[in-house]
Amino acid sequence: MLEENFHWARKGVIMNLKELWIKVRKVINKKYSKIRFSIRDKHKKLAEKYGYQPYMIARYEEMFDNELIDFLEGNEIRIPSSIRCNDLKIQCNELIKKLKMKGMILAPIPWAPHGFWVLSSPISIGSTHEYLRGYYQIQGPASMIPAYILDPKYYDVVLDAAAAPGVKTSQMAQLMKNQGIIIAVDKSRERMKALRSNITRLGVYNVIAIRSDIRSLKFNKVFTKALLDAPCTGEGLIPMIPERKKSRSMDDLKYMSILQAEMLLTVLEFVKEGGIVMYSTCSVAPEENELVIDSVLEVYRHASIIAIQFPIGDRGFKEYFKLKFSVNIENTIRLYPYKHGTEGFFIAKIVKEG
Amino acid sequence: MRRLKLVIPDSNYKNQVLSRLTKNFKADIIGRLLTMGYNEPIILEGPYSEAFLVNSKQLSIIKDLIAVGKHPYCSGIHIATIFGRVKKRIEYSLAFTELLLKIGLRRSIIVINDWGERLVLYGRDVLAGSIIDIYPPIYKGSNVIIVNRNFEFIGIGKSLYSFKEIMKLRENNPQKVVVKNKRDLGWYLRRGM
Repeated sequence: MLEENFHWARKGVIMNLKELWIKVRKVINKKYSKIRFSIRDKHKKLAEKYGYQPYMIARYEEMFDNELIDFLEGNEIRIPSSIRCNDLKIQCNELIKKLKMKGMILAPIPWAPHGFWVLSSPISIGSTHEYLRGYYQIQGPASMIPAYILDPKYYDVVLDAAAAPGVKTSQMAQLMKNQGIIIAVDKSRERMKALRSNITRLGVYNVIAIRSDIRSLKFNKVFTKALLDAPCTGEGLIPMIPERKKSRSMDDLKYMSILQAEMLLTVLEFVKEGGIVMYSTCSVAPEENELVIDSVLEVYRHASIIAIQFPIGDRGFKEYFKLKFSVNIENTIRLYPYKHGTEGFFIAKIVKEG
Repeated sequence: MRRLKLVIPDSNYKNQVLSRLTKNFKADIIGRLLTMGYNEPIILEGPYSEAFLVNSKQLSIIKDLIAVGKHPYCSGIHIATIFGRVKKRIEYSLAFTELLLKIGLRRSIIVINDWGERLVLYGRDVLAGSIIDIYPPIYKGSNVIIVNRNFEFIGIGKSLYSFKEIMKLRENNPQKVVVKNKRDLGWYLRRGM
């Protein structure tokens, strides 16, 4: 029974977490010292041509090698909008009928049971009557994947550790048929308003929303599943937000890596033994993905990566500059605009061991 | 900055809340709502207060949260916003009203045509000529639920006329505003929460 298991952490657990944070910061600093690259003329030229900062091109060359130009070209192409039908409020076939009558051209996303590409629409998809009634949510195709892989059930107690604006929270509520419990945590006041607005509009009732930094909370191994869609630099969202080509530095990346690792350690600590943690970012940067997972698992020995079985996605990087990641990192998945037609995304599935 | 403190009503306060809901929406509808399991009211108190209905699991977690000084931002079903400390004015939420409609509420409702629906979703009032059906009782000054021809929820309004007067105005003065728009689904876009 949930009521019997829902206890607050003892002081010792929190102390342990703080020690882990200090350790992981050291590990991350050490790993960053191995990311060394020189910016050559080729990088500068490509940076100028496509509007990036040269350091990004140097890193992308390491990541994509012969496919570098394909990747950069892919970021120049607009990704079609996509929606997730909210079957808490309407049957998907009924919604599609209604939207088609409004002149929208939709195509099902093969690997997302509730997802549809919006190939064309005579009206803004964020202002239709159906949207206002909560019949659907606008959601990037790749961002639908973590919740499908996590697959929360009606009996689960789920933590959504960086929940706002509640898009994935509401997707999980939908998969849980509005049963079970989702604790949705986010630090931002403004984004929390958006979360509340979204879950209310979408008819979600099984959420307890808490405005707080997950690192300042103290849950004692109560969650059966958790999602950490971590705050990131958004290097995967360049097709939608081209400003990201210029707005982030290597220092921002390092700041994010440490934040992500601390959040992931916290979430792992709050999950029951045998519980599943999904880690995802809308970034293609290995610094925010493989490096974070590898560093966390280096200091947190009671967890491991498990293979993701999903129809699309490339495997995680085993190496990056002079860094060699653990063997299991291949079990994570990566998505790219040029290859998969989605926003750039990274997903890892981690199990907490006894 | 808006600081809200969560209060879990004692059994007396809880009964007051539930009897107020029963008075406003009839026992059978509130009974159906409570059988969904959401039967524990909680109040977030601040400059204005907000009432939610939560289930027993949620309540248990919320109690734990309060014990360590963490107050949830929201939970369960948002019922209403309560203005004023002494003379309390209750404004039922869009989500709650929509849920009541879904579980069978069939009173104080006006059904409007497509054109009227479009206007209401842009924040405009209801014209007599837009009304295609009415579910009484409707009094001058009473709250009404506005739905479209498919009985889909659109918003909440305040009637400016009685049922009989509205019926007459539909024939004689279709351009007359008969229901003032208090809150509609377009609010999610215009203001957010």
